[in-house]
Amino acid sequence: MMSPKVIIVSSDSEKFPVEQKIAEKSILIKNMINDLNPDGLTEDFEIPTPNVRANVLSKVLEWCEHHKNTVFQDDEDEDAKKSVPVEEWDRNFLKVDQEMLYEIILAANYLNIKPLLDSGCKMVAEMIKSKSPEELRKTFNIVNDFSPEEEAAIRKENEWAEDR
Amino acid sequence: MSLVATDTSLDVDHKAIQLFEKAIEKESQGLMSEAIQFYRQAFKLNEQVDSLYRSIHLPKAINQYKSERGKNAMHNVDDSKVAEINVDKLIQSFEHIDANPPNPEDELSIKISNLELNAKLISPLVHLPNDIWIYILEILVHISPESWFRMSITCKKFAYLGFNNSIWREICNLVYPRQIYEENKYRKLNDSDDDLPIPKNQLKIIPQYKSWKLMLNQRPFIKFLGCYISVINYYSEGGKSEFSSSWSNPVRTITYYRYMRFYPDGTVLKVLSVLPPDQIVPYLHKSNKSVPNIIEDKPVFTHDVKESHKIYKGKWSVSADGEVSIIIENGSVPYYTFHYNFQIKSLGGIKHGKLSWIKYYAIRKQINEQDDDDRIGEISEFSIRNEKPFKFSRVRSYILE
Amino acid sequence: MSATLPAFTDLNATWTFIQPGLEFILGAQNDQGVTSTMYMNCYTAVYNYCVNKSRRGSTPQSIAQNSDNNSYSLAGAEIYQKLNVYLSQYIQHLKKLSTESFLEFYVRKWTRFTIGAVYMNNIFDYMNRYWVQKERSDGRKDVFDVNTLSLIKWRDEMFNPNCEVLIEQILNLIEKQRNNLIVDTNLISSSIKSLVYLSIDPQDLKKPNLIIYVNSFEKPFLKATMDYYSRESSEFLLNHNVVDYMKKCETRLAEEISRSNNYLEEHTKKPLLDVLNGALIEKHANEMYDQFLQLLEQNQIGHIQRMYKLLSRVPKTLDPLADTLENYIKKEAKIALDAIKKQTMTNIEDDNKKKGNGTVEPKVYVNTLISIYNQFNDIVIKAFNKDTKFIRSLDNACRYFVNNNSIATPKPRSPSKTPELLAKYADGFLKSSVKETDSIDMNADNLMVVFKFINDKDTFEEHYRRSLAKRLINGTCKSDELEESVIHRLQEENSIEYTSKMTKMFSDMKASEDLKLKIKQQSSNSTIVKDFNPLVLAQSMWPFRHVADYDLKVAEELQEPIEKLKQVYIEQHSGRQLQWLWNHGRAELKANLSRKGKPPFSFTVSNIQLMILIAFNKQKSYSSKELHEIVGTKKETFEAHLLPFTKFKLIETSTNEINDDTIFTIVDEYKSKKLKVSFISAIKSNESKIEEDEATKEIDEARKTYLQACIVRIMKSRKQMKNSELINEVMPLTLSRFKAKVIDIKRVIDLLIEKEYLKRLDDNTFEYIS
Repeated sequence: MMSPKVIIVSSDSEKFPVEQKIAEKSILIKNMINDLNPDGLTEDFEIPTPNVRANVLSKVLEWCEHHKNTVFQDDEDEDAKKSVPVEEWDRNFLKVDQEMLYEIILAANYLNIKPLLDSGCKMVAEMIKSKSPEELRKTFNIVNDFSPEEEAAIRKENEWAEDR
Repeated sequence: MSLVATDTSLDVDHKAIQLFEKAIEKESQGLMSEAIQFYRQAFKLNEQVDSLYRSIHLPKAINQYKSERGKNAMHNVDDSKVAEINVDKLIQSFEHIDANPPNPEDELSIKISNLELNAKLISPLVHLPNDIWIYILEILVHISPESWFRMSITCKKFAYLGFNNSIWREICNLVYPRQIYEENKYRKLNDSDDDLPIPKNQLKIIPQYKSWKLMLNQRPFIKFLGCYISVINYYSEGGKSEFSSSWSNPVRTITYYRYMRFYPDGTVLKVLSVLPPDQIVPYLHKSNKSVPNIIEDKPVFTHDVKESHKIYKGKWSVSADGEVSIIIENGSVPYYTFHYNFQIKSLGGIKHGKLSWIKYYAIRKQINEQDDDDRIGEISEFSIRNEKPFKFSRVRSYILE
Repeated sequence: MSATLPAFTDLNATWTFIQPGLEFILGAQNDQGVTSTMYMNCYTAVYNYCVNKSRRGSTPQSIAQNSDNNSYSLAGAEIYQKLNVYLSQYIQHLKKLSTESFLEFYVRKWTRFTIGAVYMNNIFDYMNRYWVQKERSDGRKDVFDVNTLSLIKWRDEMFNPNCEVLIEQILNLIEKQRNNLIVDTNLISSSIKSLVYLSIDPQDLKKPNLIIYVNSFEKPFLKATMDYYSRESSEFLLNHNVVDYMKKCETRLAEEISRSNNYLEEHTKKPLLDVLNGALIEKHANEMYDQFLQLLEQNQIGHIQRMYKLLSRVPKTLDPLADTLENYIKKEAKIALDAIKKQTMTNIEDDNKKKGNGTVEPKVYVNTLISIYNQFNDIVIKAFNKDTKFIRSLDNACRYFVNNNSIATPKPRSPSKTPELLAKYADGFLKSSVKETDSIDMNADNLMVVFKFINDKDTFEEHYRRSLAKRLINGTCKSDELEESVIHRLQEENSIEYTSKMTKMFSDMKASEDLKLKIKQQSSNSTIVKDFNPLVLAQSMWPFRHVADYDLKVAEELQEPIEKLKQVYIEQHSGRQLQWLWNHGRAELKANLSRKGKPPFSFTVSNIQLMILIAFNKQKSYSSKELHEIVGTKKETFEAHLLPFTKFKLIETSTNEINDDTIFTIVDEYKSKKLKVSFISAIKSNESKIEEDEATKEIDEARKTYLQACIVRIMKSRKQMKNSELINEVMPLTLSRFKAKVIDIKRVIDLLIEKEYLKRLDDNTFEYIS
C-alpha cells in the first residue's frame, strides 16, 4: 500500500499531492499533521494554505523536494547562522525577479520553512551589500524622504555604530 | 598652440592635480613633511593648481559624493537646527510612514529608471513584513555593518526599521560578549556565566540601561574590525652643516606611528614604526611576526626584521568603565614587561573611537632562572607627554574569526 | 465558522474569527474534531493580522505607548493580550460535574486543556516566533510562548485557588492505595504530573524547576508518609513478632518504591526513602537487635540476612549488630575451646598411661579454631553479603580467641601458646613419619587461616623453623614442594624477611648436596666410609648451637672424608669456620656380629655411639675410663650414649653399677630378631626442655633487636620525640611480627640510651645522637 499523501491546496484551489516528508519541511504543516493525527496519517490529508498561490506554492515545493533529505541543524546559535553564506543550489534557485523572491520569502515565512526563509533573506541582504544609499534607493525604487537636517541628525547620531 | 602642446599642458595639469591630491592625502594622514613636498612639486608644475583643483576636480568629486548619498548630500544644513533634533523621537515618528517611489516630476533620475520599469512601482521587496526586514537588517549587521547603515539611511521606513531596538540589541550582543573584562579575569574556569561579575548574557546587564541603544552609547568597548592608530609628529632641529652660511638651523619633521589591533581572544598586536598605514595595516595579523618590506610594489617578508617592521604580541583586557590595560611580555627590550593603560573615549560623534593614554611603564623581569639582578621587579615609568591618542579606523579586510 | 478570512487590520474582527476555533481546540464543544481548514484559518488569521498590520502601517490609532522601547510591532502585543484575557475567562468558566470529585474534575479538564495548549501554541506560532521571541530577548520576563502562557493561566486560575483541596484529595487517594483499596491511579499520576508542568521559572523557561511540585505536594506527601508508617509500624509490632515485621517492611518498601517510580519525580525518591527508613527501620532497630541473638542461636541465616538488608538501608544501625556478632563469636569460641580442654583432661584421667602430657593435641586445637572461623565466615558471606563491617567483626573476634583462650593462655598474661601449637600442627602434616590417616584433615589452608590471626608471628616463625630444621637434617620432609609452598604462602601473607631464614635453610641443604658429590669424586676407595652426608649449616639461620659437651675425638678410620670436606669447603669459602655439631647427625653401620651364614646387622647410631663401636674393632674389651678417653666428650654425655648398648645387650658390663673401672665387652654374636636396630631413641636426653628455653630466649633477643632497629630508624629521621609519640609510632611497626608491650619498648629505649644512641632530654623527651 502506498503511504498516504499530504495534499496541499493553494489559495487558488490547485491541489499538490506530496510525500509527507516533503510537506513536513514546513513546520506549520508538520505541527498540524501531528496535532490533528496524533497516531500518524492513515489516509491522504488535505491542507488548505489560504495565503499561498499555486505558482508560488509549486516553487516552494520544488525547494522542499530538493531538500527532502537535507538535515538542517536546528541549532541554538542564531548569530552563527546569520553569517553563513547561501549555498549554491539555493542561490541559483532564488535567482528570480524581485516579485517572485518576495513571494517565496513570504510563503516561507507563512509556512515556517526556516532554511528557505534564511536563504531568501540572505539573497536580499546580498542585494544590499556594497551599494551606496543612492544605489539602494534605485534598486528598490524608493525616494529619499528625509529633510537635509533629519538626514544629518540621524547620520551624526548613528553612523559611528557601523564600527565595531 | 599646437594640438600637441595642448595635450602636453593638459597632461601637466593632470599631473599637477594628482600631486596636489596626494599632498592632501598625506596631510590628512598627518605626514606634514611629505605633504609639503608634494604641494611644492604640484605648484612647480602649475602655479594655480589650487584653483584648478577646485574648479575641475571638486565638482567631479561632489557629483560622485552626491550619486552615493543622494539629494541631501551637498545641502548646507544649519548645525544648530540639526542639534535640536531628538533622533529617537524622530525615528519613532516614522513608524507608520511607508516607503514611496520617486515622484515622476522630480529630478532627472526618473527618466533613466523610466526606461527600465514602471517608475510608479517600488520594489515588492519593500513590502516584506517588518519582522522580515528586521531579520535582513540583522543579517547585514553581521556580514556588512556599513551596509546596514546605508540601507537604514535610504528613507524613513528603513530608518525606522534599521535603527530599531532589535538591531541595537543585535549589535550589543555582537560587541559585549567578545570583550575581555578585567573583572572576569580572576574567576574560576567552571564558574557559570551567571557567576561572572560581567556575564556574557546581556539580558543580565540590560536592566542597568534604559535601552540597548543607550547601552551601546554609554558602555565602552574595544573594536575589532579595524585598527587603532596614533600619529606622532615632532620637529628636530638639525645641526648646521659645517660651513653653512645659513642663519637658521634646518628643521626636520619626523612622523611615526603606533598601531594596535585587538582580537576577541585577548590578543593585541602592537607596531611602532615610521611606516605609514598603507604599509602596515594590511599585514597586521596574528599569524605575522612582522610586516613585509615593499619591494617594487610587492610585499617581501625577510628573516632579519628591522625594528620598525616588528609586530609584538600582547594581552589586553578592559574594565567595565573602559580602562584598557595591555601587557606585552616579549617586547623590544628583553628584560622588560611593558604595560600600557588607556581610557576608551569618544572622538566627537564617534563613540568609543579613541584611546587616550593613562600610563606607560615597564617592569624589570627575570630573564631566566639564573637571573638574580637586583633590579628585578623595578618599575620604570615612561613619559606620555609626547604621545598622541589612538584613533580607530575601520579596515574592511579585518574579519572576526 | 466563516470561511472568509477577516480584514487584515481589524483586531476585533480577527479575534471574533478565531475564537470559535479556539473553543474547539480547547475542547469546550465536547470533543468534536478540529479540521485542517479550521486549523489553517486560525493560523492564517493570526498570521495576517501580525504581518499586515505592521506592513500597512497606516492605522494611526495605536500611537506608541512605549515610545522609549521603539518597538516596531504592536500587533503581536494586541493579539497576546486578547489571548491572555480569553484564557483566564475560559478556565474560570470550567464547570465541575456534581457527580465527580474535584480531583476527577481537575484531571479530566487538565488532560484536555494541555492537549489544546499544544495546538494553540502552533496556531499562534507566528506570534511566538517573532513578537514573543523579541520581547524575551529584550529581557521581558512576563511574556511567554503560548504553551507556557496556557500553563501559567491554569496555574493562576485553576491551581492556586484550589490548591488545598486538590492536594488533600491526592493524599487521600494515596492513603487509600496504601490501605490496599483499588483506586484510579491515573488520577494520582496525572494530577502530580500537572504540578511538575506548572512549576515554571519565568526567568529561564528551559531550566528544570519543581517549585510547585515540591512546595505544594512533596512536603505534605512526605509528612503524610511519615505519619502513616509511624502509626502502622508501631501497631503492627504490638501484635506480631520481629520476623513478621521485617517481612512487612520488605513488602512496604517494595510498594513505595514502585509507587515512586510510577508517580513521583526523581527529586522525591531520596527524601521518601529517608522517611521510610526512619519510620520503618531506624525507629524499630532496637526490636531487631533484640531478635538478632536469638536468630544467631537458631542459625536462621535467611532471617539474619533479611535483618541485615533492612538495617543496611540506614548504615549506622548496623554498628550495634556488628558488635553483637563479634561478642557472640567470642562467646561461642570460648565455649568450644573450653570443651575440648575439658575433654582432654578427662581423657588423661581415663587412660593416664597412653599418651598425655596434659596438653591438647595441636590438631584438635587448630581444627576447633578453624571450625569456629568457618561457621561464622559462612554467616558473614551468606547473611551479611561480605559487608566489611561484619568481616571486621569476624576478624576481631578471631584475633581475640585465637590468641586468648583457656588452652593458649591458661594463665592470663602469659604469652600465648597458639603460635607454638600451630607450628606443631604444621609439623604434623609436613613430617613424613606421621601416618596419612592422622594428617588427613590437616592442611596448609587451615594453617594460613589461623596464622593470619595470631599476634606473635615471630614466635610461630621460631617454632616452625625449628621443626623445619629437624625435618631437613633428619630427612623427614614429606615433600619438598609442600614445604616450599607453605613457606611461599607465609611469605605472601607476611613478608620476604619473615621467611628469609627458612629460605636460606633450603639453599644450605642444596649446597650441601653439591658438596657431598664433590667429596665423593675426590675420595679414595680405601676408606671404610661408604656414604658421607655432611650438612653445612649457616649458624645464624639454623636453630642449632655448638655444644661443647659433645666434642668427641674422631676415630682415625673416619679422618679421611672429614679432612677432605674441610679442604674442599675452605677452597670454596676461604675464611669460613666450620664447627661440628656432633649432637646432630647419625650414622649407619654394618656390624658383622651375626651367626655364621646370616647377613650382617645394620645399626643406626649417634656420632658418639659410632666412635664407641669403632673402638671395638681394635679390641674386644675396654674399661669405662679407657673407652671414655678414646671417645672424648663430657662424661655424662658419653654415659648416656653408651647406655643403649648395654640395655640392648650389644655390650656386656663387668659390674652392675658402672664406674671408671667397669669393663665393657662387645658380644661375639648379637642376638636380635631384627636386622635393623636403632640405638638412638633410647638415648636419655633433656634436649627438648633445653630447646624450648632456647626458643624462648631467641624470640626475646630477636624482638629486642627488632625494636632497637625500629626505634633507631624513627629517631634518626625525627631527631627528637616525646616518649608517648615514640611508643605510638613503634607499636604499629611491630604488628606484622608480634604485639609489642609498652614495658618492652621502654626497656629497649633504656638499652639504647646506655649504648648512646639516644639521649634523654627530660623525663618525657628523647634525642637521637648521630
